[in-house]
Amino acid sequence: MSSIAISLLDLEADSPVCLEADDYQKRPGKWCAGCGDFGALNAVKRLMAKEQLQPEKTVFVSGIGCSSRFPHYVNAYGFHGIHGRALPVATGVKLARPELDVFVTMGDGDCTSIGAGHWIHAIRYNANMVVLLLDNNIYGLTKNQTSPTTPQGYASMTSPRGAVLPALDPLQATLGVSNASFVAQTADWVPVHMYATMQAAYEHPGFSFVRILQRCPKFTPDVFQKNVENPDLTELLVHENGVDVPALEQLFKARRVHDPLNIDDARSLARRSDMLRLGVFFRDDSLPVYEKVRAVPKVSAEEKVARLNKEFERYAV
Amino acid sequence: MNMQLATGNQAAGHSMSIAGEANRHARGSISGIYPITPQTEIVEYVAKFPFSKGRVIPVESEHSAMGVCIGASLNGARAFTASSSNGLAYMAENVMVAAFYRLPIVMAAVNRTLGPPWNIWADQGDSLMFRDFAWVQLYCDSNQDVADTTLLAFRLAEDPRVLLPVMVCMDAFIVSHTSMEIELASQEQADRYLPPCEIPHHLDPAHPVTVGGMAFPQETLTHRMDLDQAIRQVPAVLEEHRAHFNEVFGREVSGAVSAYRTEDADQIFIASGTISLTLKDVVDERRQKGEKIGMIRIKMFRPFPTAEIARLCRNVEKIGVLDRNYSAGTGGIFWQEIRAALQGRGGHLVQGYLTGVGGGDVVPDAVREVVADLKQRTEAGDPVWKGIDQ
Repeated sequence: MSSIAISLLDLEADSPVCLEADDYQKRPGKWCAGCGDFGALNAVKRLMAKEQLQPEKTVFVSGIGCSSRFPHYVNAYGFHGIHGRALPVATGVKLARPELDVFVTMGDGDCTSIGAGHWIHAIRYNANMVVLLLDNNIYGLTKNQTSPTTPQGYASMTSPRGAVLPALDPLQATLGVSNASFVAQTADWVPVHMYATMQAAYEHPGFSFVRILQRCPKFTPDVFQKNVENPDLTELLVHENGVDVPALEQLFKARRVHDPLNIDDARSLARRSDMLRLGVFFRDDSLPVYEKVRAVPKVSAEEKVARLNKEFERYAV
Repeated sequence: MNMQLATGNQAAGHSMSIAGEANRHARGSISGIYPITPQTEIVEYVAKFPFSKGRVIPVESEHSAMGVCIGASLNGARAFTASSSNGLAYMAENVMVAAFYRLPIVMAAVNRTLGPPWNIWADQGDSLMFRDFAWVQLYCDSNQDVADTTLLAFRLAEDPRVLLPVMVCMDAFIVSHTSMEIELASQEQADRYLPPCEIPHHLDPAHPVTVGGMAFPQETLTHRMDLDQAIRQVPAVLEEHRAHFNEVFGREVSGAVSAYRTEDADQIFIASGTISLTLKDVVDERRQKGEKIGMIRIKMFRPFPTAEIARLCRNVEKIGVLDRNYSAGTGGIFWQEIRAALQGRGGHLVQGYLTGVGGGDVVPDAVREVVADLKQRTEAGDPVWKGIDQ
């Protein structure tokens, strides 16, 4: 109900538009009716239109899973990769062609399960890319098996008596990694917030990790339902350096001004389970970015000759 | 008889589960599980099974699934899992470790085309990449074969003369997802067939050892020779356990090689998995027309039944091999093995056919084309790709 209302509160494109959002849709998305992936795809398309991203200079990399179908539907270069391995591929793309805009779409299986090792190291590399974790708390493509983010006690086909362990929290995990530079959370049922978060992620010069809470109408239809129905259970983290959507002020009464530069507060907020929190938990634009650290400096012809001569002098007799 | 409808996946899941339960009076059972299409129903079956002394661990990857099995098996538990395609590829490092530690782990491998491009249909290229990993490999042709071979696999793997892991392979969807009326074993039968799992080198706190130390070339050579000696025991040991299977279950489980109408044949066709069933029908059809053709189904790929193939083919002129797999730059993998098996044994014409690579249906017409092609051949050529739109 609320989600329909919010989706109409569109952000005006503030620049002359050559490509419209729908120009970025390569073919119709094929997900289950009601899947949160549709909303994420719409937000991405709008972001691309807003930034006028050129399809030939934009790359979408995914792994395997429902969310990993993303590259098939976006009008840009796409790489539908191997399960869990989206991030190393994306890092390779960025290192080879730093000028390209790189987006990564992963599910909770890709990111927090089979690809968790890459996740930790990609955060530390801090290559400049937008990384979307579409977290529906379940393995959807293989039809309802427990993932690391499945709530404790939630029954699935591989945990018929309920998931044994507390769920892994991707925000806490990401915030714990050295050189993490941008960590945010948003939800598919608040599309205007999802769009604004993607915008902030795109603007951040580094590895922008966005966890999108995403409803799976088939296998986890109820895990986010309380929050979908009652906005009072959600607190928005707002800040001029984070995300602040004035249009959401009336709907979400609980708002907390949180400076995204404060890593201790970010970790503390991520750890708390009293409310669902959406917003930018952490952002530091000053941290070292891998492709810049590893960039080979341009050397002039004169400098090359000078270096060669210096080297030859070592062998002069 | 307990006849019921079951898919190949359910057959594998059932047999693995009751095999695990049969070890409840010993060190129990452990299964590390991770889903991948089209084997997911196997691990789901195992996850639901009410083991009295077993644990099923939904791990974070196939690599870990085999890792869990290795750790459990090193401690004497009966360990098993299932995977498919790229899941097997990711698991590969530990697949090798399982065999090189001589751990009798049983794994159901649902043969699915390796990606990319992403494809979920049947192709044996996934499990065949482990042909040099010292696993015993058994390729099933039907749901009943999967149910029975899985039980046989535990008996074979845990035999002290063998002590090697066994892979039970089946074609994706054609077997894994298709229901057939089959007889599933009861727990009581499994208890009678499978003695407690005894792994002589399991970890013993009274005699602590470190597994996996550094070995010099001479020690490694000895290790590889031991592996070779063990896997060479398999054909004879398999026959013993087949006979015992017959006693307990009152039915026969297929062996390493099955020959059909080969006695007076001048041409023999060789296949594995479900293609062999289609081939059998075509052989009958051609026999009715007076053509002297026969067929061999190879179930056991490792160790390769070289002597048996050579014996069955000794009097035929021409042999056609149908492979649902291929090795780039050479041809079908069974074809290569058969040529090696027959090398120096009478100059047969051995022609390879790539049938159903990438998961295409191998329908009777396709097999008829293969039969017709071999008939007119006077010499063998490059492998023939079937199923390509001309």
